[in-house]
Amino acid sequence: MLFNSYIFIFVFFPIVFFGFFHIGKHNHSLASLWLVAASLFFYGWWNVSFVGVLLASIIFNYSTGYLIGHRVARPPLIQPVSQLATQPKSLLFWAIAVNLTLLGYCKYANFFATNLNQFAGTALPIGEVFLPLGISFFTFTQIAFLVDTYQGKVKEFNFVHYTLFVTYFPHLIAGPVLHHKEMMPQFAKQNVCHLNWNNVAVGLTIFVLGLAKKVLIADWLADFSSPIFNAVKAGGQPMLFEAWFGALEYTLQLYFDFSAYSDMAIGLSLMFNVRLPMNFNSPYKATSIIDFWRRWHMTLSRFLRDYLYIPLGGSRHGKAQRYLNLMITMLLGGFWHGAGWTFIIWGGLHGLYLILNHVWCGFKTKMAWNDGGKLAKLGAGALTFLAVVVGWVFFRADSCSSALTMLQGMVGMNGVSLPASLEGKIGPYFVQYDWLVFSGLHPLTNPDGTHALAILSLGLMIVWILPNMKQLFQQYRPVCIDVKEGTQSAESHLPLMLKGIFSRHFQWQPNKKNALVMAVLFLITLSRITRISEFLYFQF
Amino acid sequence: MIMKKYSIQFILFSALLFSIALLTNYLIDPYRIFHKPWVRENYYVPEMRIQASGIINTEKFDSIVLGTSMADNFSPAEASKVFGQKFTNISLNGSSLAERSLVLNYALEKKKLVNVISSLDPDTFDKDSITGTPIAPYAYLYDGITSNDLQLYASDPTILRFALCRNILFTSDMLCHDTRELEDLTEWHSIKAQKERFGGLHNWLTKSNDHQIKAALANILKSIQVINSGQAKAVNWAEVARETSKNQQVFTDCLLYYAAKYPKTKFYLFFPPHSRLRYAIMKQSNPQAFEVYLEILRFVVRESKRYENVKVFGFETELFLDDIANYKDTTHYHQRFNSKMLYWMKNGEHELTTSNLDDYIKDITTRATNYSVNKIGDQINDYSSGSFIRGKNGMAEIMDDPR
Repeated sequence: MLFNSYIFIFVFFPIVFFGFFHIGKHNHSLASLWLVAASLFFYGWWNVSFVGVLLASIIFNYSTGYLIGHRVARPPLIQPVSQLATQPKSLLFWAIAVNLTLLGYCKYANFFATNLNQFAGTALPIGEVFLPLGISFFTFTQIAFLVDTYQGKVKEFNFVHYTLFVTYFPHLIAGPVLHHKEMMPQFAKQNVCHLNWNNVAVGLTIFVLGLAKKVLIADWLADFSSPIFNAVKAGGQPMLFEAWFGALEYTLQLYFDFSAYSDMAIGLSLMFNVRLPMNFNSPYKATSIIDFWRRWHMTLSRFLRDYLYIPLGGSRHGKAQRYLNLMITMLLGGFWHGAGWTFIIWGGLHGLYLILNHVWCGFKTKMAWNDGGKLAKLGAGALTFLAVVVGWVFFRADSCSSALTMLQGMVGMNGVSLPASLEGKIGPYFVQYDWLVFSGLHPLTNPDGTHALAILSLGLMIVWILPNMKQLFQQYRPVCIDVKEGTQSAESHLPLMLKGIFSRHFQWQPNKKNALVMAVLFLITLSRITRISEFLYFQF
Repeated sequence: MIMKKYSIQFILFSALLFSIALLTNYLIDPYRIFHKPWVRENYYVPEMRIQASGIINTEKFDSIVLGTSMADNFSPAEASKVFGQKFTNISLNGSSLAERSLVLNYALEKKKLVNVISSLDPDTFDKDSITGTPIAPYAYLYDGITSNDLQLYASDPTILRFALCRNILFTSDMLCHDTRELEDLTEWHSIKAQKERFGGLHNWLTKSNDHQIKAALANILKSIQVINSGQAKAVNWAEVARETSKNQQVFTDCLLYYAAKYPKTKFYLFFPPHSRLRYAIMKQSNPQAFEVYLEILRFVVRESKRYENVKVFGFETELFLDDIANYKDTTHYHQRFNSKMLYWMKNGEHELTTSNLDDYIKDITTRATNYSVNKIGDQINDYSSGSFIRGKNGMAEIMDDPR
């Protein structure tokens, strides 16, 4: 079931919502159980057999976590040799191994088999893919739980709350990657079952905005970017402008798609009085790659930092080791996104970016340079955006060769095509240059160039100028605040004149005018839900 | 309290605006799904996959033309005159046989049809269901349940534009300049950009940015390469049998089924007379596709013989197919041939029967074999060596077009 479907909006959600608060009036535990059942139903809507995998994973991780927690809390004074295998550390090791094996089998088995067959000449069978939705998300969530239990940070072992923490439908399929310590206490609060109109109003509005972002912007962008990448997959060679259009449109599509899902998840959850962590903080306003990763998919970055980068040693063992750790973290982060070389390269590229960024920061500190003025920040922001766009080309392309073809196009190696209307005006001056043709801005895919330019401009304006969800609803605290941001506020990038407008007009207020605006937006969005359009991050 | 008020306002505004939009659309009913015009002028919207349902619901007729763009130019008035019945043309551009069967079924259930004229475009026999076709989102308009037809007016805000268009409050047609009269609802022959492409190859070449022309030129040049290099793939008869079998099933399910169910309705089925160039390209560069086509011809004629109410027509022995000036691309013929076809079908000329089929196939095969595709290629190259296409690879650029 998709958030952007009529069945979810008009049937599933109202039933779950009213059911939860009705049951919650009488019994808190039953209300939690109701939410668990609803979440499993939501998950099983795609494929019932996935529910079995999810439940098995939950039972295994809860039991192991319970055992680990029990032993960490009360370690035996003398440990017999026969019980070494049940020591917390061993249990943790085996539990993580089981989780990673399940994830590896479902997600990566075919990748390894294909590559071994290709490079080592083996004949391993390529099986049919059985990839339960959201497996990467619920596996990571539970690994974090196990590690924290081992470290003695987990205090609550209520099975219903644990199951709800893992299965909670707003986040189950595509995150945010939740942390038990920010969720379980919220589920345990008695007033979670009491209807809170503040949360309903804010949550409803955030959900509508997220829905509009997905349906009106992300899906529209997909109509332009997908044909270009598909044409490249089929052997086409995009020329300069078309390649840039494709790359930029995908850059925006991915952001609007994924952040829309996060917004919808945050909005839905808020209506149940549960605050999810923020997942995006205007990432394309970042002025460095380090800044970008503090703003993009923040909960995944947090996970990678806390459970991979820091355990690897973080920055504690010298610069070389730090850079190596960064690279390993980003390569694995890339691989987490998908079983393909393009994802690994994307991760590696970002690892390299981060290393260069740290080297640059170190150099600046050594030279005692300051951050520079606004122009320098603008340049840094543009360079960061460019680096991110190049990375997304690998992320989106079906193969490395397709990505390289796109990048060739972006640097003009496949020639330049201008609008046919310009041929009469400037064509005669360029007759001798065979790299220049006048077949339109999209000679490969031929969509309406005006619309492509309009949607691109609109998208860029939104990501660069407008406030994000958290800023719009700042005074209502729609997200939990555990994720460390450490970024500059979006306003700081705005010219002085815009800052005034920003603070006056871009703070959501619960008034009649906004209710009307949201109602119109909701209806327009609903009317556009005419096709099944899954979220990009479902595949991860 | 403010938040509660806001939430309720949001829900009420949503419900109110939704109801107003739905009521307005119902009142205007631009596609006449529910009623004839009450408060607006009489017009029709040429989105035929929707409009066909409205025409069936609210218009009076007893005969239909239901084909692809090959049948778009049949004039309902002329068909009515020729056949002596009341015709309407509800052809669906680029439709598969499966799509048309959805509409045909609906029309046959709602009306007592006397005649059905339908084109048999062999390349539209390949899909056995409407899944993924352009009519799929509107299938509910053809399920016989009136109440769910309201979805149409609840699902597309752009339909509200008709509220500001040629009605008792607004006289402007700015927002509905695409509307038409019933007589010319489907035709494309009067559209300037289409009309200009008839008259000869040079008229195609001057419109080389048109996607149909691009595809046609690319197809011609690629075929010439195959023909001249002698690399045309040999016929694999097993594949021919497999493809034919699927096509036969689609034809049986989507057309003959209705002929059997409605024996009083006469079905005039015709194979559209594409240009000889197209058949020659098929025969000379892709003989397997040509054999599949011939197999479909044989099957259609053989099976249709079992039904007294089905007549099959083929016009490929006509000489007009040889002259590219009668076509706006390799497939679409001039509307005067639609007119002629009406008379031929009414008079039983060019009817294909089991007794004349072998001669017909022999004749059209010979014509397709002897037609010189190279001659057309030479003309294209002569033209392009002028100033036709400027680019790094000249005509090769057309051939590289991935579509």
